[in-house]
Amino acid sequence: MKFRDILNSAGSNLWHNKGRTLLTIIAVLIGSLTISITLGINTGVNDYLHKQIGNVGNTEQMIISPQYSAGDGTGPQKYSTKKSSQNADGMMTKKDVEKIKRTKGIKNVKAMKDDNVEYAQGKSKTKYVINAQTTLGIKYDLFAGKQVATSGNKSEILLTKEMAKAFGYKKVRKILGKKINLVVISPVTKKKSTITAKVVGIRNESMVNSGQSVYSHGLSEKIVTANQDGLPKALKDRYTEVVATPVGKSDAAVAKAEKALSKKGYDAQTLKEAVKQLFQTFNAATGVLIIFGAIALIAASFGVINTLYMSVRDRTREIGLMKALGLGRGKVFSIFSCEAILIGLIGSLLGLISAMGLGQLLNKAATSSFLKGIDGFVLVQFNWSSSLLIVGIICLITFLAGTLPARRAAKLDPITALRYE
Amino acid sequence: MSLIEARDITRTYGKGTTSFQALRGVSLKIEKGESVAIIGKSGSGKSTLMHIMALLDHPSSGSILLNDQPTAKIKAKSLNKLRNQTFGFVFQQFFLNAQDNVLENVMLPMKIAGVTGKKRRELATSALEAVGLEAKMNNKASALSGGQKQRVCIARALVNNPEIIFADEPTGNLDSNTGAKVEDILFKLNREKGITLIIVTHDPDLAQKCDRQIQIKDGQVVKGDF
Repeated sequence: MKFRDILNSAGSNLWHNKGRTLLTIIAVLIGSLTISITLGINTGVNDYLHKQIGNVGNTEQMIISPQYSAGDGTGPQKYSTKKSSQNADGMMTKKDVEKIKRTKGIKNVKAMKDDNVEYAQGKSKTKYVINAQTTLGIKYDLFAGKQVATSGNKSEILLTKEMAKAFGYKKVRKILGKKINLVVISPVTKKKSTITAKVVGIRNESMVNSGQSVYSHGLSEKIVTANQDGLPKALKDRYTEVVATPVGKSDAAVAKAEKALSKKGYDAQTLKEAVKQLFQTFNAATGVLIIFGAIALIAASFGVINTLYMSVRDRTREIGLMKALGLGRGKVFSIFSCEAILIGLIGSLLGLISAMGLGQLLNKAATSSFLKGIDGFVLVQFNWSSSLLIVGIICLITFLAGTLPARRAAKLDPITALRYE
Repeated sequence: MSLIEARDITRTYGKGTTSFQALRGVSLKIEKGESVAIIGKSGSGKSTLMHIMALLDHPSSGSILLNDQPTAKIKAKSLNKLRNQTFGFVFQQFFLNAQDNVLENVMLPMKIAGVTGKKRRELATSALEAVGLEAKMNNKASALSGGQKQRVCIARALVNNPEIIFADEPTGNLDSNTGAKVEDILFKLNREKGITLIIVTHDPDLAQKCDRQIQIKDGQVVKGDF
């Protein structure tokens, strides 16, 4: 018997029992749909994560902070040289910075001082509070313009699209090259100083450091100087944040540097890890959904076994006849395996198509609600390789489920089968 | 040289005290082009004998020779091919696939043999012409009368151009008029195409029309020239 005839025989039998076939296909479809949509979300999220890390560049950069801070909330803690109430506000002293600098495995240690700005003011004259940080030397995901200078004394700033609009530019690109004013009031002398900054870039909305403006190195130094006006010299060396770059870029090297810092009483986290942490919860959730999908598929495979046993029973005399007319065991086995694989193929393809449809709806819903304003994040995405893999695996599962009934059919004795009523 | 020869065939079902001996040493020879009736009451062992001669069942002892060659050691695959190309079967209960049309049913042995395309259709059509049903080839098998169904079965048995047709009570489910028509077709094939006919029946009238009658009783040949 040629493969085409085997396929025909399997297909026509499925067609002759439409109701039964449809129900089994629906069972497979549910499993396929669950797994496809979950993998689709996973692909979407990881694609975004990848893009973000790729855009940012230097993601191995570490942010170092004291291990003990008031925010821990784990009850009274014993004092040690590593843990002092001095660090409770998260600020670090010159001594801390020295200690960090001596740690092996890191380089380019930069300590950032308090750079609070009272308000910012642009063309529209409205005063806005500004949430910003000094450049970490990474490549920020830009909508337009260029990165700020990481050294020297140029006063440059990156703004978010929202800020640009607020400053009175309906077409946000128009703000590039324009100046805005940052007003700093010293907490000690209450002296008001105005610092001018040139807007050189506009940031994309992103999940990494979202909504923050970015100061160039020079701008930051000017703000710090204005802030510390009148401050005693001893208090000037207080740092909000210390950043450093690990010498080795491998995960192991980063982990080693982090361990060394931990011994000295500091927590360190690279940007990469921070981004990863964001998505770990997500991956855990999708993992659970995939398990549900797998359970649905296992249930469906019992449906396939059941359907095929019924098919073998219905066709017992036909099998007997075909065997009497010289059809070999292997071919009988193939006919029923084909039936099982066809159920898997149709079910998984329909599941995949429904998942793609559902994905479109989800994407629409997401971009108009919880992903609003986040650029480049397509929640549900499908790629060929994983889609084909899903279809392949489901066909394999249904084939395996079909082997039991197919074996029974193959082993039927033609005389007994022909006598079957 | 005989076409098919049975040598001292026994067939026992079951084991120990519940065992039942369906055949107790049957020997016979059938020549090419003969028409032979195997007659006996139900339970006499005539169907078992036919199954063993058609190589659908193995004898407990004894041997079947086809063209003087022993068949016991033929491998499953060659045996399937041999059955497909050498034998045709006509059953009392027809065994047609009700959902398929007449042509599909007749093509079944060739599908199994791996014959495809135009050749398959042509052979099936000419087999249907031989039984006078070419006009019905696109009808569903379930829509035919009993006599027509049995003629489709004969066409199916004929389509691979076999040497032997085994017919198990071919007229058992038919009234005498349609039965007679089916018999005529079978004997015509025997006369004109030289196909050896082995008919299992308990109908003495049908048996009389054959060249030779072999009577089976309690698993043994009781009458007939072998």
